[in-house]
Amino acid sequence: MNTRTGLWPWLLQRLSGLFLSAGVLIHFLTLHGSSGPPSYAEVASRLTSPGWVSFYLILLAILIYHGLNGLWAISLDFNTPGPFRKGFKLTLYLIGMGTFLAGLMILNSFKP
Amino acid sequence: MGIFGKIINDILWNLNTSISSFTLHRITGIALVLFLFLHVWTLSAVFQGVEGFEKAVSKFNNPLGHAMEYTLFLAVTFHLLNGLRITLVEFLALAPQQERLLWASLVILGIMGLYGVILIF
Repeated sequence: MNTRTGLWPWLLQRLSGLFLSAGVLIHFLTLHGSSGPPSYAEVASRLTSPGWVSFYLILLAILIYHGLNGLWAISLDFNTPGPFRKGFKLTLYLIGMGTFLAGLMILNSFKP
Repeated sequence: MGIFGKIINDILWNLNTSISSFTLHRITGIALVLFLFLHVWTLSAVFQGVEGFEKAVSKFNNPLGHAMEYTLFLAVTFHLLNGLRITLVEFLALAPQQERLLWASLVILGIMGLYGVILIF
């Protein structure tokens, strides 16, 4: 394992993982309680609650952080040259922000 | 031999429970990131209104879709349990118990796998 990842990414990866363990469980239980795919009305009515909207935004943000930080940690093990590393980091930032923006727009599109 | 070949060789020559769980953790991790993009892509059908959304989510309501859901369920459960094990070992200095914890997490994975069969199919 590479040690260049530093203390903070290491600690945050564990803490975000603990948060996601609970978050993903809640997400799974709310969506697989009924049989079949969720209806638009069901999702839209849940998203009228600020609590659920905040839950999804926080879950998405932390999930993106955890996933992309994980990819970054894996990439460090390949000992790639500096310019590649810089480019890859920038790409991960752009993908992360783009995915979060897409999620934000999706959550905002459900109208009750 | 490329770097991927070297890594695969390293894994095969040192095959043990630690390296297997380490490798599986990374494979499931990459797969779950890819799934997140698929998930956001599927849900973006909401931009086409109520019908577009319901058509998109019902695409997975068939045997192949359920098999994919079950694979996802197993990948998430493995990654979650193994991550929890890593965190416990590192935070509580349980390194001497790490292998026992791995077997415990695999037993829980097995039980969850059976539960998932009932839940998803």
